[in-house]
Amino acid sequence: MAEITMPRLYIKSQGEDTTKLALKLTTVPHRVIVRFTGGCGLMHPEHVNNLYQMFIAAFHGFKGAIIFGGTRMLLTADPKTVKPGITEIPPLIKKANPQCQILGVIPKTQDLRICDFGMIVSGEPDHDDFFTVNHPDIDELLIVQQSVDIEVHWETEFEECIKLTDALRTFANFDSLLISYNGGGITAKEIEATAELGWPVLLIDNSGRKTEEYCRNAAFLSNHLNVHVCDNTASALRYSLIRLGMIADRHLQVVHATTRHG
Amino acid sequence: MTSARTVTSQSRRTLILVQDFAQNVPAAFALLGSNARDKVALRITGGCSGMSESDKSDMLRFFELGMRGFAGVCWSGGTRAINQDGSINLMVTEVPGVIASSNPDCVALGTAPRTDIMSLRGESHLVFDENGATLNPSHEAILIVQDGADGRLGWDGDLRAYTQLMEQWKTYARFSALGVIAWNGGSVTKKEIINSAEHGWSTILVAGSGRAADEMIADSNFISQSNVFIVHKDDPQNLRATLINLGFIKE
Repeated sequence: MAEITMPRLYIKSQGEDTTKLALKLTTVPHRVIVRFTGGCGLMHPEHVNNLYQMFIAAFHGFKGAIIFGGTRMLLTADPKTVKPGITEIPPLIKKANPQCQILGVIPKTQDLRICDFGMIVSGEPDHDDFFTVNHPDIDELLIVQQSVDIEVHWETEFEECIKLTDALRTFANFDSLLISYNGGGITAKEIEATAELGWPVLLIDNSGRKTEEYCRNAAFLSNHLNVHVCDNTASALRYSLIRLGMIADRHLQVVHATTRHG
Repeated sequence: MTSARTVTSQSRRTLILVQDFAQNVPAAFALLGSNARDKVALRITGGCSGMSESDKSDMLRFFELGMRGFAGVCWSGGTRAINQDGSINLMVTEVPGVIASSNPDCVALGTAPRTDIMSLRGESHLVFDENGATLNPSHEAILIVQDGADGRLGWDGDLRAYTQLMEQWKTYARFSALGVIAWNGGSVTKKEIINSAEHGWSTILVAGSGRAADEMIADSNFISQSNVFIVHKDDPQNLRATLINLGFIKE
């Protein structure tokens, strides 16, 4: 019998509140929420190298909350092989920083099905080169649907994340940051929407595709002073996280130590 | 001079949220409670029927002294009773605002079932119920529970909502202590006292406060429960000691 790990599942319809999950996020020692967006299936190999190590190093000492896609991509030819993507990062940060909280958000874009590798949320092993399941290394997963019979678009993920972030910012004194790495059309929409709200956005330069396009878009950057750009290195990312208040200053000393020892 | 309708909550505004009876408590309201420094919640329940103005002042003084240093969520019914002359008719619903005003890390909240159609009267002041009560502006936020847009609930119509939220604070936001303090009150208060004890919350009855609280104290079976406590209305220091002992006030 196959062994799969399933997080605690919360299912909501669009428009409903997620009170339980919002409350759970308030238990973090540092009231900040980071939203990860960006590349998954279509990243080039050069944008994957060192990706995980960079984020783990930069987030050392992080004690806030992270919301992200909550998925994992598996190769159809060998479903035990994980396809690299941005959604692999938050569980690794959580593992290295147990006080932080991570929440996966998955829009129900098709009928869901449990297989030997978890719950399939996108693609089908019978037809596609890769398929997407729930990430097994998270504790809580929010599935968003319109109704039992009606699917939602992938944009629903970021719309729900914005709604949750808004509640935490407005009613629970959280600060927020959208971090964008690589990504396609939906990532672009999320960057635009968050920038328009005036909330902090951090674009990682040289990460490829849409995020990189926005890093080069001088007009967009000059019109949105809440959008920041950082180099694709651990030290630059960490410096930005500290400067934007996502990691408390007292950890700055650790950065220097980390940098010094390579 | 502060009038009965002056907003005196710490943020100088009182948020008003509305939920339907069958729905879950809105995240916005639940999150406000998480801003309290200490993750504990005390619900003040009861009434003030038959009490003189002096007794009512003593009641507020009792809570003010007994809850000194409290930095959790203090909540009650969300209404304010107004006298004919426009002055405040002191009720237990004034307690959270009083506690929060002298303990800045405390969050004062209120809930109220919508028992009637709300209306605007006079100089646009909001009248909440058939008795002329208004919403209490000393609370950070008030959750109104309604049975549809034009339905009417009884005075216990918010019990389900606040019970649900207490349990969600405990389960999801790591609140370490939940409790009810009962002062005086009638049949709804009695229901709330029993509900509190059944949920395992610390249930503190104020002896000498009258009616429901004293009637429950007279029930020897009820007060034999390990989570039921009695303090006397003339002994606020005993209330404070009890709250410290139960983890509601951190020293």
